[in-house]
Amino acid sequence: MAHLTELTLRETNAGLRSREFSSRDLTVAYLARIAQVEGALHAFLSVAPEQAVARAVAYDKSGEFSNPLAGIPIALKDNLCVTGTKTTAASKILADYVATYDATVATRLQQAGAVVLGKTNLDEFACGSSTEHSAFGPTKNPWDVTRVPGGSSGGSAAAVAAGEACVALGSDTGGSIRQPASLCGVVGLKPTYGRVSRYGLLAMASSLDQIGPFARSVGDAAAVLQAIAGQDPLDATTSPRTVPDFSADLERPMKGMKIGVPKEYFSEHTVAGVEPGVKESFEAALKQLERLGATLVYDLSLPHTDYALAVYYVIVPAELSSNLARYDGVRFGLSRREQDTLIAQYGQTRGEGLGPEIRRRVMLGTYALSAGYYDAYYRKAQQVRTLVRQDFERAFQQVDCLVTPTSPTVAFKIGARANDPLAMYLSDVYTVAANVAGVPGLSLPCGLAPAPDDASAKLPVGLQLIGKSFDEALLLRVGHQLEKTLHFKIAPTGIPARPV
Amino acid sequence: MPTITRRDVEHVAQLARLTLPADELTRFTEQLAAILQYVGKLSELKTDGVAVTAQVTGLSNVMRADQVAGCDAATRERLLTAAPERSGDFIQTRGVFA
Repeated sequence: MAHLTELTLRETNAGLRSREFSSRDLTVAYLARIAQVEGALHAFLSVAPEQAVARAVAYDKSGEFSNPLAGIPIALKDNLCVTGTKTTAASKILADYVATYDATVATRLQQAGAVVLGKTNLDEFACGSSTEHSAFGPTKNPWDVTRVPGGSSGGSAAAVAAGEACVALGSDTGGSIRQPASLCGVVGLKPTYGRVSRYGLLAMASSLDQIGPFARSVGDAAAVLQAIAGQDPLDATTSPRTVPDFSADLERPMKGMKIGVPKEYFSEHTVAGVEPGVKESFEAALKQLERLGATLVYDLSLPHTDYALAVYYVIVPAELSSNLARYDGVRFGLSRREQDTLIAQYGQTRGEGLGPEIRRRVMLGTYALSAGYYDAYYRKAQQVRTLVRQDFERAFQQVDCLVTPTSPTVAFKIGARANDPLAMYLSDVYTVAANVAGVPGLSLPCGLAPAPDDASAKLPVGLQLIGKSFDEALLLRVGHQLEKTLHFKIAPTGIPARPV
Repeated sequence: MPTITRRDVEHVAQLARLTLPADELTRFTEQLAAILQYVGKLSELKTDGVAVTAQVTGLSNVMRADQVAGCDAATRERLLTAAPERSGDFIQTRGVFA
């Protein structure tokens, strides 16, 4: 039999219902797995073993496992507030901050019965594509610990891949769920903007941020989305739309479905360039989509693709610089009080508390919003954002969804892009457009490929499906059926095997 | 698009309430110039008459009743405890016009 920490959410729920094992057994197994591999991975910033076991025991006593998440050990990205626990956003400025309230997603998952094991590592304030920008040290990729797990939700992705949590939550502002899911060989979903409440998420770029699940199967991602989706009076951007049953259509055949392969994503102009191994794996998956009955549409253009990344790198720093103004050392967090004046205290607290990438982005954003430059940068970016959205609207008149690689590369070496912020930004070239347009994106593993710097390495490749607003169900349906034909096995090679 | 100078960077650091060491001001001048050059490609596009997209929810003016919500003693205590310096039930800080 498979080890408890290898099972999907669905298989785990079946085991709990049939009393094959208890939530306590599960929780203890996950905590043991964490103890076994955390030294190599550093996926977590904090783990709460006693609370987790106590919660699992309480669930076992209730014996109520009808909710798919009941008694399931999960992990939360450390930019999500949980009352009474440290919530650091991987920043020195919040190193000792204890959250005073619960994020709505945390409330909903706990109401569904989930057992929170701990909080996962991220790039500071979710800014980055490698988790190297964490103030508390990088997370390593479970497939090869000399490589990055992607980011910014690298801790959650690595934890689910390595068997340190059954499912996890991350946040995605420009690819921060999908790109690490791709690099770690797991499923990651960025829901439509407005589908999931962001109350209690430490805000990064408010017009783009969205919370979503990491899971070992597409069906599992659907179950987690079900638990967290829906309107919340505490987040005015959540949609009043009815939340559909995301699992109802998973098996419905794909015959007649049209899937677009945007040509700009493969043009010679694509800045980053797709690695040959990624391309090969992606093209093999396209053939499977055709076998499943979908029609691929190649004559499809998103003409402003090249500009989406530039839009993103104006809007993100601008909104971030505004959101992070709250970290002033007065009400919470790090506070340096040696200076004579309040303004000097602000400067010193922020200069010391915010890490280099955050300082860089706060500077860029403040510049882009400052008098004389607002029109040239922020307003211009918001106008081009309209053009990017219109590209998607036109595309979705022709096709049901789009398919692209999630990342142009497999996991890169730790440190490889550290000194070149622009090269790091290009990691997001395939994922940012979905955030700019507000539409949902799903990443699922579609194979293994060699690394350009090491032909013997076999690293996960992710495939991304992008859909219409509020059409996550269609992405999950396509993803689920594709997953069944691809037989991808989450068996990370860089960490010790589970004890027998 | 204009290029960014070191004086601009110093000014922006002040606006952003960031005290930065001299070497970082120099490094940021170069790095911000490179990033601004990249995002400057937006100026290639004609956007006369194109509306701005500030948000993508399709919602407008989401209102709620303007009611005072209570705060229990435990929550108030948690909030006050989070403050670096307090004086009784107040958060203490230096005066703006000190």
